[in-house]
Amino acid sequence: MAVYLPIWQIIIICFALPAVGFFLGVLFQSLIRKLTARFQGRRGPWYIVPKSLRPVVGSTRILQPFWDIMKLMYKQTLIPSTAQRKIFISAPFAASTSLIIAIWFIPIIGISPFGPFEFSLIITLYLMLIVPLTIVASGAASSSPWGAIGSYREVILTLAYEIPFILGIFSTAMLTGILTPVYGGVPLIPGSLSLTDIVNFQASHSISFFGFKIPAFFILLNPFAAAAILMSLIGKLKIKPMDIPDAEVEVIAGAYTEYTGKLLGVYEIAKILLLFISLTLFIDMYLGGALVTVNYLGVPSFIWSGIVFGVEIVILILIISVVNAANARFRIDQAFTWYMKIPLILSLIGLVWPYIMVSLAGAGVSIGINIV
Amino acid sequence: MGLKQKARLYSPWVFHAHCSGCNGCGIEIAAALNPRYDPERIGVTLHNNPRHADIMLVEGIVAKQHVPFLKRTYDQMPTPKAVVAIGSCAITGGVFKPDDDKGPSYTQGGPVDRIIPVDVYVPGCPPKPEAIIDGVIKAAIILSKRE
Repeated sequence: MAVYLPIWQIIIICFALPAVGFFLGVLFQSLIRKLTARFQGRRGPWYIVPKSLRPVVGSTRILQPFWDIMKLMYKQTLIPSTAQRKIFISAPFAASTSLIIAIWFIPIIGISPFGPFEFSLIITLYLMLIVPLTIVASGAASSSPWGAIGSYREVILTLAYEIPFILGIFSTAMLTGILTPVYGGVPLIPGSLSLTDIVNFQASHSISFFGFKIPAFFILLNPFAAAAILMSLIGKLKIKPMDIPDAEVEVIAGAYTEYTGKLLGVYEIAKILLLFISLTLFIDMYLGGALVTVNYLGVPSFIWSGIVFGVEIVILILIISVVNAANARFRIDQAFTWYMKIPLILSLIGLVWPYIMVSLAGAGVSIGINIV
Repeated sequence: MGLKQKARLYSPWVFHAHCSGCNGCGIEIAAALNPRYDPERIGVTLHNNPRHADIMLVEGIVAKQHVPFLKRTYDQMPTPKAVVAIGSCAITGGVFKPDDDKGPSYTQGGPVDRIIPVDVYVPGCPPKPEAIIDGVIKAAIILSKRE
């Protein structure tokens, strides 16, 4: 049965968890900027400033996204007189608030304040979908032609990437139900829509991958859905080939064009929280949630979990940075066509792959992955 | 140094206003933002939107037809803001400088500081990228001391 914490601890965690998420998100964003710069032959934000320059520009720039946000918070906020005032002001706060709530439902190294919440996957998906909606609303409300074009592009891109994203997420959530009878559990339970259950399933079961016994990572059990999700996340995070809605040389800043000062700062916070949530969701769904349950070498298991989380995040950020640095920008119609071609087909294969895999295993065909 | 000053010094976002110059300074600004000098090391990023910018880099003599647009662009920037005049033309008028006998060039709207307040002057025709980056850092220091 679920163990629920006392109410005061839940309140503390509810405030602390978004702060931790924001801090880690700043680090991830900084790492993406640094790695992208290095792949482009630049230096990126200086992590160690040369000694002669330290009196002028400070000693380190690891927290460069944080300084950008703080700078925006100390700037004047202008609101265009022709803008739809209420929507224009409330949209960035809606985006940030929905993401702060979404952090509560995502287990980070297996820790979730509300315990094994039943439908946390559904809640997270809906809360993440609020962000593109607010961007569309704010671009349209800013009464700027660039904002209108940005909104229009955001609508098309969201429609394109959400279909493979949702299909991939649900085909992975089905895995817990399909695999439970294979592992000898209660047969024919439906797949769980709780992220905590998905993480615990991966941590508590094991597979043999070409002879090695490892935890049942869903990225190995359903690689097609994982690839589709990663491609959708690139659109969700506006990584280079898909940064069409805020392409700075085409539409000035898209929906953010008329945003200044604190409102832009709140949008930047939302971007950083979205980065954190997306990467953590991917790790929870496919990389076992970075949950280690054994005290190896006498070190507590949560320290091991933290190390594994860090390694997995760095690998994901490396992939994202390579994609960001290696690609030029798609046109919006190319992006739509691409999403309808590759990720959608991958996610559809991912939808039937678990059944194929289980029946292959039942027929005794070896595909390198065996359920132990 | 407080949080406010530090934040303003650490992330100056620049905006490049091209005011009827010969493009020489524009090329040098582009060179200053290139991988070789990469000013993102110290947090400088180019935003082609005055609403997001802290520092405006102005180049060129401002032709008469250009004056209202420069004023309007300056007004679109949220405070605190700083202006860096880049190149001889933006500082004094350069080769278009008023001659004593004949008066100013008939297209000249004046050096930049007759139209908007200028904080940092970067001389040269065109100035070197190092000088431009130095000017941006000096402008960021001025910016951080603003109210």
